[in-house]
Amino acid sequence: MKDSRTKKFSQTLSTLRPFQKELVLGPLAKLLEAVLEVTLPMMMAHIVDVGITSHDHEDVLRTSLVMGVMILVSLCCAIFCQYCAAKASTGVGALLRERMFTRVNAMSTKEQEVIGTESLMVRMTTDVNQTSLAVSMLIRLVSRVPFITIGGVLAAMSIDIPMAGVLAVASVLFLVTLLLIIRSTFMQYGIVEKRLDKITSEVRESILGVRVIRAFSRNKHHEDKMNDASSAYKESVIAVSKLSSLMSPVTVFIMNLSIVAVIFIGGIRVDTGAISKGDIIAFMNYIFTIVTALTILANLVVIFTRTFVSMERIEEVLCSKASERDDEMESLKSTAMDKPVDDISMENQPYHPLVKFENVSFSYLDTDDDDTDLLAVDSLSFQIRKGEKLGIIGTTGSGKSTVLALMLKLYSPTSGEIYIDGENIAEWSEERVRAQMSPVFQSPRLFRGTVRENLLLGGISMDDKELKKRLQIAMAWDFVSKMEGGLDAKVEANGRNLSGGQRQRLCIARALCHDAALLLMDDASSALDMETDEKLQATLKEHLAETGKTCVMISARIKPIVDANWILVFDNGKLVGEGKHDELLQNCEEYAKIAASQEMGGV
Amino acid sequence: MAKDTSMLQGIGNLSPDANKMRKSTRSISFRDLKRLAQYTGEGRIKMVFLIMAAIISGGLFVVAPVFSGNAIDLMAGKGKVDFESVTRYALVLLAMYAIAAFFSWIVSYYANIIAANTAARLRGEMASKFSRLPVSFFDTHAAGDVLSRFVSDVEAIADGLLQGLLTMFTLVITVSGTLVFMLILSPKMTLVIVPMAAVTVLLATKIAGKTTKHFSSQQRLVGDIQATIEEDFDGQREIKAFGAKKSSIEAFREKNEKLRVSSVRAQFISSLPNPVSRSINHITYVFIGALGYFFGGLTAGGISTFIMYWNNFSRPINDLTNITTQVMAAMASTARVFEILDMPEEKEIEETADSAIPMNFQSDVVFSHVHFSYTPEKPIIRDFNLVVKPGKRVAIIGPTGCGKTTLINLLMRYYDPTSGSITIDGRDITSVSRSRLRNAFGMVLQDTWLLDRSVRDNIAYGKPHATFDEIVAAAKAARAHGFITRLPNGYDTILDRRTNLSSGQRQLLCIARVLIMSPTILILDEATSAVDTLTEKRIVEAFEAMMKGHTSFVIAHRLSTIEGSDIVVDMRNKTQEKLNRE
Repeated sequence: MKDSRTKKFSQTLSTLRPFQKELVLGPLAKLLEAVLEVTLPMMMAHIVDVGITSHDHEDVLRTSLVMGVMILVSLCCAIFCQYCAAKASTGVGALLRERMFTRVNAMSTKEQEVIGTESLMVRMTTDVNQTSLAVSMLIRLVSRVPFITIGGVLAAMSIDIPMAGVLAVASVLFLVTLLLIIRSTFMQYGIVEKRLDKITSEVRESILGVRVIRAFSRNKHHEDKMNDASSAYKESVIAVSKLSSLMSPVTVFIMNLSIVAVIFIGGIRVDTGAISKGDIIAFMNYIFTIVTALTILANLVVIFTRTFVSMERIEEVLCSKASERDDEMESLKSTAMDKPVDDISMENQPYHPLVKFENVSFSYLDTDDDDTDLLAVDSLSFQIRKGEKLGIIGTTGSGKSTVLALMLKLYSPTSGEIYIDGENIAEWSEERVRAQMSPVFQSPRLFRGTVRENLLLGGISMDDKELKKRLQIAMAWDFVSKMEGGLDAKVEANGRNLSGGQRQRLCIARALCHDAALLLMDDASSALDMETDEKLQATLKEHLAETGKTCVMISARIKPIVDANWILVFDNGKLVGEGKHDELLQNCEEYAKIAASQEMGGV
Repeated sequence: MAKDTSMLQGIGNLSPDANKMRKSTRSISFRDLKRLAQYTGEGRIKMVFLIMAAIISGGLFVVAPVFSGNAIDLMAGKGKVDFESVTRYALVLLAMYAIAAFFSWIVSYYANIIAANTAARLRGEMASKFSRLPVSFFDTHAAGDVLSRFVSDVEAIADGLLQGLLTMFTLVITVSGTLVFMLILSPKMTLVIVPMAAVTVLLATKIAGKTTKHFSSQQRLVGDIQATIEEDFDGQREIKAFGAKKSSIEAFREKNEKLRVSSVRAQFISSLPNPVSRSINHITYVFIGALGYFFGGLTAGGISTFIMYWNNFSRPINDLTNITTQVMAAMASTARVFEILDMPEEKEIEETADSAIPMNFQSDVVFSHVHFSYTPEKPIIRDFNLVVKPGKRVAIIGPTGCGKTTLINLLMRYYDPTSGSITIDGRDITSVSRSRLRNAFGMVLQDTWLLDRSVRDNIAYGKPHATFDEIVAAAKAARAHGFITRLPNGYDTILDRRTNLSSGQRQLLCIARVLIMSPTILILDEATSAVDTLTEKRIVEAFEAMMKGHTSFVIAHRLSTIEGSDIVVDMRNKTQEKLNRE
């Protein structure tokens, strides 16, 4: 059992390795403290019996001094142990976080989606904290608690065996009661937590929907729902407290019961001369010490039960597949940067396809059956030629964005091959593939930091003049220059302090700063107003012509792709037409339909 | 959420206010506590029981050691034990402990109930406060912050209250009672020992004070690293695509190390009070033995009693130091909760005879000299005038941030004009109740907010008693009936994360939700900007049907939706030109 468990948590437990010293020395120091602590009542008994009875001043004084020194030593031991615990537990926590973070970053998008951001967050925070707490408890208490309990009983036995029996029975009774109460409340706490979550979701709903709620005058309804959730929660809290409030009175009563037993049985033993009065005082002290230790033990059991669940969840992340290759990441990246795909051989063959899809199918779901309904893209074959502008159009869910994700190797095709410059990208590392392209995604995502840091994401460098030039192309310079700090203006998480259109323009500028030979734009200007969008398309066209970059433009609207060299029309994951705008209007029904739907707007 | 930049900028400008809100949490006043006591409400009788139970159990715990000490003194030595008395003492002790246990259970159970009830009452108060807060409150306060006040802060208050009730009375009684008995037993020794307890408390509070500082700096770093993790995971696509993996791991490492260093410090320091106070207890223990002998003239039984008193005396004091942090946190949370409860509310007019006259919303909608700004420095709307005849369609256009959504905010009375007025049927819209006014409007936003409930419930959202036929009729009118019937459970399909509705389908449900109300005036705010043009066409069809014969306001940045409007208002440059096409 223990063996399989150790194996089961091998990744998690390996983070303990750097802290072997603390893990050994800490408990040892604590052990010494416990030894001293258990000896104290014995010496006290000595003072009472020998010193006081025989009026030996010197003996009382000497014993007191020795006890004083012992207390000091034990204090030092305790502090040293606390230090070890703090160092090792936070160290393990930090190491776990780092390993998980690195692991997640090495996962493919699909692998990440299996776990999900929210769950990953919980694992990296709550679960790591739980494990870290357990390490700290382990060092601080694992040697102390058993020692004090067993040592206390043993020391008591050395004084008097029948009396020690009282202690042993009391300890067992105490522990069993504690664990019984804890176990029966454990399940109920689960309900309590679920109901608290329910409150959270009700409140979140009424905060986020405030406009609609007010529009429909449904305030009262949501107020009632929040109240219902809150009452249900209250009921569960009170239900659990019926049991949990028994904990302290019952355990204290057991402790006191054993004191009564010590007095009663102690009376008999003193009468027979087996023990002295001082011994009874020592016994009472052992009871206090042992009971305190046992209370801690019961808490430990709870903590470790929770920790095992947390460790399982951490282990799952650390052991999950992370299939992105980052071997020779550096060298590949640098060569790719030095030698972009448009090398000499390509100059001579202007129509050599830069990117080629051959019979590519992909499903977001992991199913073995050939249900084509589940395919996001189905048997795609097309080419992107160097220097051209390729348009991709289709309704939402037609598979446009999937093409982009596949090109970036965020996902790998379920079947079929993708080639860049004649080489199958399955053979390439993700880094190398991505170094060829600069994408602009549909939903603009920015990071906490400055405008500059966002543009130079990934640690590339570029001087202000060049940055400004690219911001101008993306129609972003106007507002960036007005922001406080300009290029160094603050960008909040998710670009919260910017409007949707501003975010999109910064994302376009970011892609331009990365200057790869392939510019991928996925509905990149949907949040811009007509006028700005038109200006943007014009400057972008100029930029493409100037640099000879290849551009893939995915759009739901016809206008941005009217001038494309080639247009792909998607419907339901399939390529239903390709050609130039005029041709498609004639012979592609889907395209004509889309065009008609936009014609009415006078586009 | 569909928000104009103007509004976001408004939030930016309001942020000092939000900072103030955060800062003010530090000042904890006695008044808050008094006010909190009111929320325990009907718990007062329980409170009396609790205090009585605490007095009884605390008193018994104080007296018990006298009996055990006496019993020990009766054991003079071998063959000199007075069994009869020892047995009597043991039985008395047993009874005392049993009664004490019972009453301490009552203290504990009632404390739990009072704390849970208070929490529920606070949440109820906040829930009803939410209904009365103006929309501007929700626009200017981060949802996460408001949420955490409702959930975590109330939780902290309940915890603090529980711990406070559990320990406070028992503590006062045990400590003061014990003190009296110790004084009776040996005044000299008490005078030596009490300062020891004082030293323990002082040391512990001093360390606790330091700890708070370290913990708050650790907490800040935890918040930072959580934000980093979340951002990194959510932004994986960008991080991968731009080769930022390595640099983001580097940045994480740096923060992680900072957090580790800070955590070691916080944890180490916070773990000090325990061994320190334990050592002081040990030293006192020796003192009791040695001093009891040298000065106190105590018997062995006396020493035993004194040691038990010392335990009774020092344990609650140690508990107190443990609880202090919890109670402090609870007080801080109390201030945060009251801050919400004290927020200014939406002023609602009295239902007078005048206001009760129903408006039929059938005639002109008139904006006259309307001025508005979210913050005084940044006027959004200046001297806006517009007359809309019944049944006309108004298109509002202009670049982002020019105040299009603001106009809707004013019409729906989410905000009120800084000056000027809006009238419908010749009456100022502020002269009717908000709910009456809003019921006349049907609004569809870009943000398709739906409940995690069935399709049926969502369509009947504004009309909970609608018949199924009405629901289906609304769905048909919204062109949504078709896809609803294809859902796994039709109209009873629950809309949670697993039901993958497209944004277009969600929008059609929002339209059905409006249609079932048969509103007089319609508002569409960027309702189709998140969908592709083919879907948009379907939605527009539904709109067209819906808008026929109704006054309507349409905001859109795509011209298609504007086609067929009677009036186009261009909000550019904060001036309004009307292109009357009539």
